[in-house]
Amino acid sequence: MGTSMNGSWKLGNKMTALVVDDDSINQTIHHRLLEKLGIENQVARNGKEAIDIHCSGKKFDLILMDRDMPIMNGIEATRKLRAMGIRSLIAGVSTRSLKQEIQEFMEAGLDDYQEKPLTSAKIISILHKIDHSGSISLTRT
Amino acid sequence: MASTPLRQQLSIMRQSFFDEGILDYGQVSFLETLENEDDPDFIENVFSLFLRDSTRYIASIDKALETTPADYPVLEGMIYRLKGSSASIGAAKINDETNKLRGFFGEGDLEGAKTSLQNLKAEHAIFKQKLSVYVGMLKQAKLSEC
Repeated sequence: MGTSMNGSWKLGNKMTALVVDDDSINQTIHHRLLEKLGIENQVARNGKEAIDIHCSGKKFDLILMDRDMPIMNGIEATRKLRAMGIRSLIAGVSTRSLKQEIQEFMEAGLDDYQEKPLTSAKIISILHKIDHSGSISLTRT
Repeated sequence: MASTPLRQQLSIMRQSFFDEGILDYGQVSFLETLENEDDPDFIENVFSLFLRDSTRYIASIDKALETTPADYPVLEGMIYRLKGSSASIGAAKINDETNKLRGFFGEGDLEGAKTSLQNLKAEHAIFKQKLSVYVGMLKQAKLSEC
């Protein structure tokens, strides 16, 4: 299936990520997936936690943002982060597949959208966007 | 790793899950690549998490549907959580039934949703029974190999 996990990514700078998801299974899988790619990451359980983490001064290269979460959903959290001036690459991750649902999420300020389940191929596709933006030096070893 | 009788049994069980459509081969194979010496219990942990949380989500959906009027915000939240986690873990039949339930919910067909929930619960019961045995045997196999 898809892209092998055997290839490793050599980073010019240490990449960091924030996983924003209310579901413990997705938190565990996405955290481990990023970890295996050499990306230092932490988990927020909802949009408000993600905002609070940023308000504490932390910044990330990549944010994986779930759409449906309690307290603050991914759409609202993405809007708030952009209003705060956060320029991290924000990839929406959801099971929603209707065009208008995806569009609503994208219009909140996403750079990318991937439908769950996340795979290594989908993450690498997201990482390529960071690479092409020139903000991170990323080469395949 | 030596192919002990327990490991052979596990391999047969694993294949049966794919053959019966309970688990998606592609997604499970991918999850298995995330397990290594840094995180040797990853598969057991995610399956155990799903067994625990899916039970809770389904119970919440059941309660929300039986409430008068039905608790739509809770229903929507729980359906999407179950949809997401079942897709991520490769629980194919549970994911299919959750999608059907979501369809009825989306159309406002609560009676259809209640019937669909019964099918989901039936699939979940089968999944829970089989995966609980598998996870238990996986733990046993690892302990015997230490």
